[in-house]
Amino acid sequence: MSYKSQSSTNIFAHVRAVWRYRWSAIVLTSLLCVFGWLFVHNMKNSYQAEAQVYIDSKSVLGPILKGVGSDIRQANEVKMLALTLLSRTNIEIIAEKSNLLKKDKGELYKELFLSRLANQIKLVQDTKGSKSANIFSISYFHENPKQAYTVVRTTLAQLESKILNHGGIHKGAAQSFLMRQVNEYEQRLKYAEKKIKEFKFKHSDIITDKGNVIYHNKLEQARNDLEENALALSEVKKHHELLLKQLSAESKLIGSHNNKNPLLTRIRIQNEKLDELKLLFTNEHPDIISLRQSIADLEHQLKSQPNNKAIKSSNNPIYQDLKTTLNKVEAKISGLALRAVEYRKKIKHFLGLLSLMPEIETEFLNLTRGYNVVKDRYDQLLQGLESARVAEEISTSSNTIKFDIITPPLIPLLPSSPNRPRLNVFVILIALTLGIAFAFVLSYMRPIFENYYSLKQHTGIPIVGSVSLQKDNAWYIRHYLELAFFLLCSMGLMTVLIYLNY
Amino acid sequence: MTKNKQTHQANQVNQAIQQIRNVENHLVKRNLDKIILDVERLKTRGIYLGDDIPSPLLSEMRIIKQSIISNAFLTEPPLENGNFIVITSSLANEGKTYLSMNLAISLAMELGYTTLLMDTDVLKPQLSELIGVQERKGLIDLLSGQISDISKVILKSNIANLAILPCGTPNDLATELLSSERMKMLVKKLISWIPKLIIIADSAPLLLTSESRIMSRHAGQILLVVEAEKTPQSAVMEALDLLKKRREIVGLILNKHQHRLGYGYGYGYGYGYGYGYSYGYGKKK
Repeated sequence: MSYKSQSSTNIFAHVRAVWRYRWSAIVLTSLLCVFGWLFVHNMKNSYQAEAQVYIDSKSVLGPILKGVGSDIRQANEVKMLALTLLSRTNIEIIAEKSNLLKKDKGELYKELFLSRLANQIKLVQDTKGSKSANIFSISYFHENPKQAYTVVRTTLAQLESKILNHGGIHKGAAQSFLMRQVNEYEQRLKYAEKKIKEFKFKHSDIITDKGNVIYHNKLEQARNDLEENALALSEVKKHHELLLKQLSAESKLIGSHNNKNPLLTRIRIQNEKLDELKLLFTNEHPDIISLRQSIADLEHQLKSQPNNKAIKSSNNPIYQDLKTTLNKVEAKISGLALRAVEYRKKIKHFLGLLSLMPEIETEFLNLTRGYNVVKDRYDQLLQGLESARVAEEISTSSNTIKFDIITPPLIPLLPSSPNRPRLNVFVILIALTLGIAFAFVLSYMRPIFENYYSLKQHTGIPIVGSVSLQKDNAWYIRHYLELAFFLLCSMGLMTVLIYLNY
Repeated sequence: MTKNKQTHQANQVNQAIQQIRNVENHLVKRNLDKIILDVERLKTRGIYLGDDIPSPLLSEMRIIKQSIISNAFLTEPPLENGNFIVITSSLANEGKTYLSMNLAISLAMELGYTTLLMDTDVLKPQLSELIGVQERKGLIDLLSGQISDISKVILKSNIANLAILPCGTPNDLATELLSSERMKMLVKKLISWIPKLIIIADSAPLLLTSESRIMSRHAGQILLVVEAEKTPQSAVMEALDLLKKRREIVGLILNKHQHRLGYGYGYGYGYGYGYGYSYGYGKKK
């Protein structure tokens, strides 16, 4: 007959092995259970006091987080809130007010204690509602329920005073900072304005009030003026020449014609003049117009005059006319000549400036640019200051709530931890596992022979016979009694567990 | 055949065997005290005297028996004291008494052999108690010299060809007596007392006493009983270590074994030993 290879142990053998040492296992398990349950029983109760508060974290953290990216802000909001609200100074005040600090233990102890306390006072965001809800819960554990309550209550009081009284932390600082900035920039702005004004003034000939550089225009204009002037001058000169000619002709005439009606002669001469002028100019020319007018006047005079006496010819009116006109023309000529000189001067001046123009232009550009930059920044600061002022107004007004206690803390009646029933179950589970492990280890340390094959292999001695176990009634009774007893003991352990927990 | 006829035939065969036994029953002739074995009481202890022996046990005994007989009488050259067989174990309560009684009864059924069952566990004479002869004089008395005639101490039983030698009067010097030369001489005496005698000696655990170790030196065959699933391997190895380098034959009997899951089948009978299988000592005849 064949037998299966038994060199590798199998699950059943292991289970049997553990079962073989079940009593050792159960003894160990019971011992461990007893110790474990005693330990759990003697664990100090820890009570938790909790309060729910509303904190407008945006307004509290606002000035500090300005400039920080919004995603970073949101992720770390609670942490930052905790850091801000549970700062070293605040914690110290809380510890002192709730009598947590033990005196005479040294600075190092105090520091460690305070930092541990900061970690123990939990500020958690209540995420049951929407994520952006500003509802937080402040909680603290302590073995003395009253102490836990005191700490939470003190923390709340401290937070309340800090947040509400100061209108936010660091808010005043932000504003005064902004104010200083505004003033500084105002000065700078004024200075820049002044500089520009000075510059404009210095170069007022080529820079208008509006700031346009009109150098080229001015040069052009001066040139044009000169040209026009030259034209006008040449005109007037021509006129002058003509007049001179007429004057000389007239003086000759005066000798022969002195009895005739001077008016008539005058009219006649004027008309002659008019004819000549008409050859040169159009009817719009001012000389022509004035000449026509004087002719008209003379004719009118002639008509109104009854019979004229003979006018002494010492002052021939035609001659007089010509003379006055000549004087006028001469005056005009000198005037134009003067103007020409002036125009030339101007042109010279502008041409002189030509080389300096780029410099002037850039300097003016820089000044204006600098001014603009300062102006922009100044405007920004003004805006910022304004919004900060507005924000402060909003926050200090009674309509906006920054901190409110939703659920005040209570003195806890029941301890929150340790969770004894659960711990007891853990104890028994661990004890069971260890017990089974113990049995397993024992079976490995003290192996037996289960069958012919293992006996033969291990000893090397021939096996004369293999006698099977006789399971008579007595055996069965003993066997099941023992099994029942074992189960009873196991049940006993379970019963103790249940009794402990309920 | 009908059932009646079958039973009738079986009975006839039994009777025939009994007759042969009676013919070869040397004990009948001897003037020995007789004791009646309490069948029922013994049955409660797992020791079967009659035909109601469970067949597994019957087969198992048969296998062991064959080996014993083969080594005792059928080896060439003959094993010294080969018909003196000591049943021992490493620790207590492994089933020596149970096995030695059942084995002795089984051997007594063998035609042509007489079996003497001896209780040498002087510290705990369980065998004598089992049979009910612990009050009687026995081995120790023979050893101490108080009684010199073995026929005064040896008892015959209601089983043909089965004689019993009780442990005897408790004595402080029992262990010394057992390890003395007297034991050696007594063994010689016993062996030559009846022809084709097989002596089964139920002894003390090897690791718990020293006298069984010493006494077993006188034996030709030592059978070490190992209780399955209980005796530590280390104990067995230690016991075997004590029995090393001897001229006796050592064999193992695995007792109280159970068929367990995960060990295949076909495990229990007929591994190829028995029927004259001899180990480590010469060849079969």
